[in-house]
Amino acid sequence: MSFAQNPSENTTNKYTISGYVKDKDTGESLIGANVIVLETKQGAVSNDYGYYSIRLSQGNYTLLVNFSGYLTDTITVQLNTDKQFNVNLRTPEAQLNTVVIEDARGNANVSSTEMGKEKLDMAQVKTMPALFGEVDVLRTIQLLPGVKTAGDGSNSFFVRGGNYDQNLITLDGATVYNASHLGGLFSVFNSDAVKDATLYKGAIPAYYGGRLSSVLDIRMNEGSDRKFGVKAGIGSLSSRLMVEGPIKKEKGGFLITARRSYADIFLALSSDSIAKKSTLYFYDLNAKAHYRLGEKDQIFVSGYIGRDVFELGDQFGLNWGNATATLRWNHLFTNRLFSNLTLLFSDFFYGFSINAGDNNFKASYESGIREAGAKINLDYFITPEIKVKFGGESSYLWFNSGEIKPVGENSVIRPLKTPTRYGLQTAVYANVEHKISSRLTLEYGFRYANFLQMGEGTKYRFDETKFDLVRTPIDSTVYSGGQVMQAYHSPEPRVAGTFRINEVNSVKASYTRTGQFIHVASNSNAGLPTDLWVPSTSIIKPEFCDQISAGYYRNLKDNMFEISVEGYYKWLHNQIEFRNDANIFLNKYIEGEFVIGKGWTYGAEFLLKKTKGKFTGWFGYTLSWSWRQFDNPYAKISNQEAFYARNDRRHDFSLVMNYKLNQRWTFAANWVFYSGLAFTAPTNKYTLDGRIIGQYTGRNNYRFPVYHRADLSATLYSKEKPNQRFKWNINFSVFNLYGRANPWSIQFDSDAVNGKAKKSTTIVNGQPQEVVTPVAVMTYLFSVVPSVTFNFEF
Amino acid sequence: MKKLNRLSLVLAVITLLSFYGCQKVIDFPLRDSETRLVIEGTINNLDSIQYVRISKTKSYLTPNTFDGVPDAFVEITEVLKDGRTLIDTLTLTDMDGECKSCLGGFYRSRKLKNATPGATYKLRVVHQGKTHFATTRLQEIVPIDTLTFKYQNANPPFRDSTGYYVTLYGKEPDTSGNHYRIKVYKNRLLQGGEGVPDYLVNDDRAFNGVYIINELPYVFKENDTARVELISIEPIMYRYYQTLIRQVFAGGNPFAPPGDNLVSNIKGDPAFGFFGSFAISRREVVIKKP
Repeated sequence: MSFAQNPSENTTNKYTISGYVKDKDTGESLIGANVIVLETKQGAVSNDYGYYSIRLSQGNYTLLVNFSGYLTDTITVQLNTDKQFNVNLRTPEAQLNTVVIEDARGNANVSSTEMGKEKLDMAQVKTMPALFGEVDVLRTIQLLPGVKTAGDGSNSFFVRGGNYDQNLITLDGATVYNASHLGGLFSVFNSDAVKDATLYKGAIPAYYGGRLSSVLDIRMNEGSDRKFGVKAGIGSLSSRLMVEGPIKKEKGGFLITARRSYADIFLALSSDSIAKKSTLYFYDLNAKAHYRLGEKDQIFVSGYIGRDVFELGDQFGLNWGNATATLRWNHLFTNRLFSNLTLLFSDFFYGFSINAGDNNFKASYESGIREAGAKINLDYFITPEIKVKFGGESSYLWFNSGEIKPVGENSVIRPLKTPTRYGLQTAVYANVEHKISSRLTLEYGFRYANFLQMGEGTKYRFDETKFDLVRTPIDSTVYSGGQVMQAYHSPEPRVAGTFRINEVNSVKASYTRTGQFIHVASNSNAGLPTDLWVPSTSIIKPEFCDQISAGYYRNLKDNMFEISVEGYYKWLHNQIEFRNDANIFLNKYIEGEFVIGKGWTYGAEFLLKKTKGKFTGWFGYTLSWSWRQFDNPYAKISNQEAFYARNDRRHDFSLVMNYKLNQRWTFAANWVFYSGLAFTAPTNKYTLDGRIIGQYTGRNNYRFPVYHRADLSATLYSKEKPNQRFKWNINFSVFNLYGRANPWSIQFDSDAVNGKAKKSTTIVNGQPQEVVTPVAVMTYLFSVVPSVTFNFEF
Repeated sequence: MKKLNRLSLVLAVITLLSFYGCQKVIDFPLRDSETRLVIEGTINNLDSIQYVRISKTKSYLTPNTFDGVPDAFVEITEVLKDGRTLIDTLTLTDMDGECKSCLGGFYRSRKLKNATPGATYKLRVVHQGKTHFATTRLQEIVPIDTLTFKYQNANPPFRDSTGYYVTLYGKEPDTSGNHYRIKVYKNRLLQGGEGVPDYLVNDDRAFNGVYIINELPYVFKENDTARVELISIEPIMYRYYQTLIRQVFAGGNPFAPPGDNLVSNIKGDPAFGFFGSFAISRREVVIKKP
């Protein structure tokens, strides 16, 4: 026994301790849990499936396992052979017999390499203002510095000046193309079942790719393999239900969640006759199951479907929906080599229907995107200092650019479909996390991505010097199914480093190159899902981004406070914009409507967090600039000069506060303030042929008024009784506490009859004459929105 | 009428917006921008006096009264196909023209009479040290063969009401690249909406060289006089009308693309407006019960 006291002297025999970190109660694996070897001060972080593996020399060790929201566990291990050890962590509500040890994870923000990475602490997210009875992952993300929202009405977000289609959102590995529900009040992620949500906005590791600006990787709970559970909430705006349980104890489990809103209650209260007859609702459904096939294998099946419906009286309807499905297989090749194979499918459609007038004009329109593919990822825990992740992925994409169909026999609308486009996107990568010394850690990797635009299809050529009102091709080549129409490559090096000055201070820096082969064509000032997904083609080039960032991180007062300052600069290449007079509706020559240019964004993000005590929260501030420029001399966009991107917002403050008064009452509040979005408006006007014509000086030359809003929530919890399974809480919340009318869009209204323009009388040549003065009219979506929700679980 | 597809879809979306959101008037400070001249004129073959109107731009959120510019120098040079030239200096006139709320700035020709198809007209405007030019060439006239009328039942969206509808017949020239505007008058009143004329414009891609049969979308009653003008315009004027329609249509629609300036053929120092030409073929018919 005494030989084993100095493990570092015995270097010939090395063994591995490995296993899964789980929640003791439900059996859910914990992602990103720390397993630290006290004697060597090193360890591992559990992967996306909760698996960890540490290779050490023979000897006796004490392992500390911790994860936010759980009690730290200590394990002593006598390592004289490979050992499998699953760690089951308890939540504080569970039996308390373990001694609480100093939370070593408290320093993680200082020691980890990941810059510009925000791992949402789900335990903390659940204490955020539960607006409409639910906490929401996307709403929380938008409160972080560097992430800007598109405003009310949508959950689209912009990260560090990038467009909203530059964010990759995945749910258990499948892509989610539109994560918003109607009104932007809810995301498609049911927070009762979200296990992990991590946002990468800066140093994006090589195992992610396909979008330029960010990755939001969301993992849901898999379903308890130990006990049945039900969680539900009934609210004034929506209700939800979650049911989970074992398929076979400790081997497999299932999870089902459902959610439905009935926000049309609002509309029924409206005095407007059309609004009264309108409907507005959404629903989500998730179903998952998993099963352990043996020591080394585990399979998972999951599916999601969601839909949004808005109908204005019986004249007009808007609807969209997402569906995703994944089949995943984990296999342990060795105790240090963990693999995951995922087959994935994703479908997003957007449609609207018109019943306006009478039967003659009924039509329905739909556009969308579909993806089917596979990913394989291997985690190789080589030594506690070096961990490698490598793998590849490939998916086939279908792009539906719009189809209109007549509805009913009398409709005069002729069916019209723009041809579907196809693409094959592939990538391979290798990423190394390398702890070079006790102070310096590097993460470096390389990703090679490839995109093939596939037939069948037609490749068009346009006259580059002509941007007439209707732009038609001068040449076309037809390709049949399976032929490669166009090929693009993207070599993407990634490197990040952390230098720990001491236990509480560190500096980090990174360089990231990303590529993006699919794009959203958006033609509105107001941010709508009329947007089209298009692939890269011979005309629409792939986008690329080079980002550098650097930051300083510090913990204070024994990790009670975390402070960070991070600065970045991004060069965006091949940004797309629609030309003037673009026609994107059912246009098979839509490629000719694009103009290619560039962008550059830069800024600094400041975050102060308080993570301990009765009172927790954070304060974030971002100062940033976002520019675009299209210097194509024929397209004449904004006189070929640089202009502010629509998402340019100089200042962005968020304040998040949570106060746990006692066992029964918790209060939470947010306050956000940000500079207005940029938009295009005329400066001057003149008259031609009796009409008023606007004169424009450039794109995005004006700003919306500033946006600010406060939200508040109070939650009353049921009394804690031992052995009581049934628990409840009532949540009262107010969205937009002081009813600020925040802008959704602004138009100049010249209509004095049906609109709001001013009318007055002047004398002209001795005759009285009526004169109209246009006014600026702002449309806003929400005033004060209160709600009450009753939540329970057993 | 493919315009209607898009038209109603956009209209439906506009109505969606106006009920979905609440609205309020706000103060919105516009930036100052240099005042520019606006030059508007259309030479045609039927009128014996030709007009050019000069006005100015002003800040958007101010009253809709537009002062004319009375002190500009306006000159038109006519160059006929055989090379003969006529130079005319236009003079300020106090006629109010076809527009509401406008206050002059009209200049009339003295020597120049009806325009001639095939001739070129060059405009030169000088004001406060700045010079502006434009050129237009009068197209060949495409004659209307005949106008007929027929009593039809309402059939939205093509025919709003029951009544008489007029059909125009004519032969489209075999050359491609012809562009047209059609003006319809009921009892000498130019048809349109809300006091401003409609723009029925077409190119000939869909019907080059064929016999045109075009039912006009206006309803007439017995004893009305229907006058139809089939006007040949230059391609650039067609593009100008399209940007004009786009802007007028997009007003108030937040889903429209970001606004941009109209196409203009005015060159030299910057100015807005359009100097075009109409080659008009005009016919009238009186609606009588058969």
